[in-house]
Amino acid sequence: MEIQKKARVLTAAATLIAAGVALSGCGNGGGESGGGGEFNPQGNVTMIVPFAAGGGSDIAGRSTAAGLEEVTGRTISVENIEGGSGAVGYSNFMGRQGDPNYLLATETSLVTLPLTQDVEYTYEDFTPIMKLGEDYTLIVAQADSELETCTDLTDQGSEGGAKVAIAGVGGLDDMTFSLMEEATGSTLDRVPFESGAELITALLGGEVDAISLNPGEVAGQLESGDLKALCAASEERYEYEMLADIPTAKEQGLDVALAQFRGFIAPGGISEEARDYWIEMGQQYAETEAYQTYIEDNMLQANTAFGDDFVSYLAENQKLVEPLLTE
Amino acid sequence: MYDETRAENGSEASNATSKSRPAVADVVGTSVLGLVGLFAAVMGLRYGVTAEGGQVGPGFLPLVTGGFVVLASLAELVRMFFFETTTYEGSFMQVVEEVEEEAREAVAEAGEHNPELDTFGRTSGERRRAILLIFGILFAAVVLIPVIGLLLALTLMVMSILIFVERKSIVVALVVAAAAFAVIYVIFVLGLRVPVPTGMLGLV
Amino acid sequence: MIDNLILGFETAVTPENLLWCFIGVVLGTVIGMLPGLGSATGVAILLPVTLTLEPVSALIMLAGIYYGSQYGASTSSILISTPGDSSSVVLTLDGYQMARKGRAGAALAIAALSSFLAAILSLIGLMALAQPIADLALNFGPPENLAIILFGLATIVSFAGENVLRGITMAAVGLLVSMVGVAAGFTTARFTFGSVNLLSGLDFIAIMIGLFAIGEVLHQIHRGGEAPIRAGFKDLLVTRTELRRSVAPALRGTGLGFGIGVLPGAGATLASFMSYGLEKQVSKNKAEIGTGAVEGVAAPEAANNAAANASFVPTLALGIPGSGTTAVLLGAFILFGLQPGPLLFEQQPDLVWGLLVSFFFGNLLLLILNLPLAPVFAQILRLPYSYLYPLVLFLSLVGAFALSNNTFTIWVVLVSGLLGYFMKRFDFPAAPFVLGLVLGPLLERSLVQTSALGQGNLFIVFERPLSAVLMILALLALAAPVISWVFRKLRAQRKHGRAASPAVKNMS
Repeated sequence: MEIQKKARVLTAAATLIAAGVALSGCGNGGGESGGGGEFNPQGNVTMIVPFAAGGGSDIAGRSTAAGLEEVTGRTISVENIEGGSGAVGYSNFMGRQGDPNYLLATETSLVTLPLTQDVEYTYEDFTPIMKLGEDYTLIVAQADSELETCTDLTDQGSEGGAKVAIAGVGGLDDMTFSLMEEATGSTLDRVPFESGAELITALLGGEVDAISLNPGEVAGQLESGDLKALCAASEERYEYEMLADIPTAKEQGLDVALAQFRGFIAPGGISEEARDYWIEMGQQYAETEAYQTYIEDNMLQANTAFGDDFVSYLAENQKLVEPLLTE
Repeated sequence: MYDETRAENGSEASNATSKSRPAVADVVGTSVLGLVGLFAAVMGLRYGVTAEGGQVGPGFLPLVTGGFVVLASLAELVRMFFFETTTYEGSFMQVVEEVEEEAREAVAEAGEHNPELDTFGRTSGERRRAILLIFGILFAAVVLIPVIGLLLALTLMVMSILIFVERKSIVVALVVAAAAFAVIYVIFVLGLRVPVPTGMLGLV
Repeated sequence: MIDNLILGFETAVTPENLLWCFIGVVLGTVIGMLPGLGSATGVAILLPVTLTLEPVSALIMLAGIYYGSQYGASTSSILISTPGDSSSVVLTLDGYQMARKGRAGAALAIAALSSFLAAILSLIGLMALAQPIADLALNFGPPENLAIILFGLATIVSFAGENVLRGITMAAVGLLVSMVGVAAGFTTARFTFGSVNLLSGLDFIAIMIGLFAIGEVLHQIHRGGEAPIRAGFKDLLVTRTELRRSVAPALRGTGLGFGIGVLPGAGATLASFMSYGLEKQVSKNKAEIGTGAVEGVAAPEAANNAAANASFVPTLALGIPGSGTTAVLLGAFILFGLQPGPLLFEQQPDLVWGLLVSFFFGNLLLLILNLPLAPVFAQILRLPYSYLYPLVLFLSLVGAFALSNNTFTIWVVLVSGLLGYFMKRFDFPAAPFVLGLVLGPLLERSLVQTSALGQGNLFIVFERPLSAVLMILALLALAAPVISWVFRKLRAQRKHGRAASPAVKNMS
């Protein structure tokens, strides 16, 4: 016991010195001898998250970065470049053309932003690497709200008085509410915020009637009983124990189901080796326990896709959401 | 943007009359602010003052703030030209000048310098050149970053300033610059792992 | 409560965790002192290093970086007029003036002491009342945020210098500069002229480095520079009078800082500016503030530390980040497999209370470190300025790069440095400009949200009781000094009006 404690204190002391002086030592050189002459990016890698710290994209980006760090043995730092509902981050990423030391934690906005906004890229300008999985949203309200189901919400909207907060114009939540409006002919007034955390603040503060968030973002508040789920905007009920009781929108008579994909992409114009290297690393990451933990902690559906498969998924996804956004 | 020659004239006047403020710098500065405001307000109109449903649009705040700046600047100009200028008692600048005065006296008392020279041993003409020179060196250093890398460019900047502006010996400049480089390298590159650009030569 | 405290002590007071706490505060102090690197960047940079640790140890260290950098940031503001963080901008006013008068050691000591006082008091508030305060803070919706930001902007009148209208104009120009880029809730890119680098706007920390650090260097050269300070070691120690004068401002700063800090989003910068404004109104020595008065150091420094601690209130009690740095910390919670949310106190009591107790030790360590170090750091000013300023330039530009790992930021610093020089030289105050710059995005966001909530009707700020009260306070804060100023000017003009300086007339 004593010895163990001492050893730990010593480790701590050693890390102090390491942190102060030579943190870079472990990052370089590690994977050099791995695959016998295959491509290897040099130096540190940056994972850009186009949203603020604390939200679903941020968690996904940080988990992926940590997982990839594990399999690549190099340093991957996360950089939040927020603003413009993600447009700022992607545009910044466009400036990294051909640099295999940059990655971006992507999600549905990769497809939706070029459809709704005046941005100078589409998903075809990047190199899609890996789809981690899919994430549906829950429609949630305050625990003591009069609303019980999603149809209650649309009914209130039809009577002209439902406010919903959205994390960004043209985001998954925005589109989910659009689908609900289309299905019922009601109106849901949007109040724009920047991140999931801000949405929860607005909902808890009673500013809006409902919000649409990924389960991982509201699990804490659902468990504590501060918020309740009205419905899940998914094809089927969740298998996770905590969410199994939540009815789908379909069960309530609203044909609304929309998934958000999560994954990561590399800049366009990188070499074939670089692309293969990242796909290989992504596949290795999908086998790790870290990946499983991430999927379960955040209640995602684990259907991965790599490289070309990811590209064709994106093409289909674009066909699906295009009519929603360009009316 | 900034009319430098006129601004320089303003400062001559301020040196000559230490208590009252020159109006030229104020007029030019206020006009520049007003023009910035005008530009913002016009652009605000273009961006769309209101969004759908009469809500605040992307041009609303630029228009309101820009408009305010224009009005405030005009009010300032009117006050400057048509009303008597107030004396700036207790203003920040005056305090600074007093401190400066004291410092100069202290130096003069110590008898180490000619009282006309400042603590750097420069006359006012040399000072003006020093500023231009420093800014030129800064500019050159930043231009050099893509070529020789961030840290080398800035180390070179420290050396150049010490040699050309401060007239230190090359040995002293070399030692100071090298020491600065070493400290910054340890903190930023080794400690915090900031990916500093190494430039086309890829040195440090 | 007592049980929880004991549990917290058991968790925090192990040699290992105390060591991590120490590492955290030391790294934080260094990161805070470096221009450009604030606490949010520091925590984000060092987050991966902590992933191999126990969650408690890691969070203790990361939190140590957070409040440690609050101490460090004021040091560089005071000594070389280069704020390490936006919440320390105010200290470049009185803190730097104190240093130039040879009271650098005293200013640093006052800053450390008021930081400590604020940290301990706000920690007690955090421990005792986190849940009820957090629930109360939820009443602050977009209209209330809008009102409090306007209130914050109204404090400009107190540090605008003699020419209040010009100060307000500078703040408005700061607001305009903050609008560069894509704003919240819109898709329109504004004032970007097609540049991708401008899409995310101009980084206000980069502008700050330029205005204060580079601008001050050029301005010093222009004025002929300061003599190196020749104060002896004894002169660098804080006096009894200075201590006595600091107590009340530090307490007021703590209260105000805590109140602002619990609101999600508002933050330490706003708190430090507002507390400075408050002192300018209520302090016994208000005339001295702005010329190097201890009150102008104690109050804002206490406020930004109290606000930093208070931002843990919504973070721990609701799972909603109270500041940029706590948002990154929440990310760390999730990476450690902890679910932040209202149940954190119940589900992870050892972790939460251990973390809170570690704040106490961390701040104590910082005080023990900073008090003796204050005179030592002050020795920097004995270095002849001709050696000091090239180093300030070097450090500032590297710090600017580290902000975003983008050379574009260095250009921003360079241009703002030139502007800062002209602003200083011709007495266009920089502090209101910075306040406008910092508050701009918050103002616009809450404005857009308020308008969406009111379906285009902005006057709902007057319909909701809390925001209405805040709006009235804001208007009073804005109007009162203006009115008294107008009266004072009128009276002064009647007395001295006819004897206006002829030199001025000739110039125009």
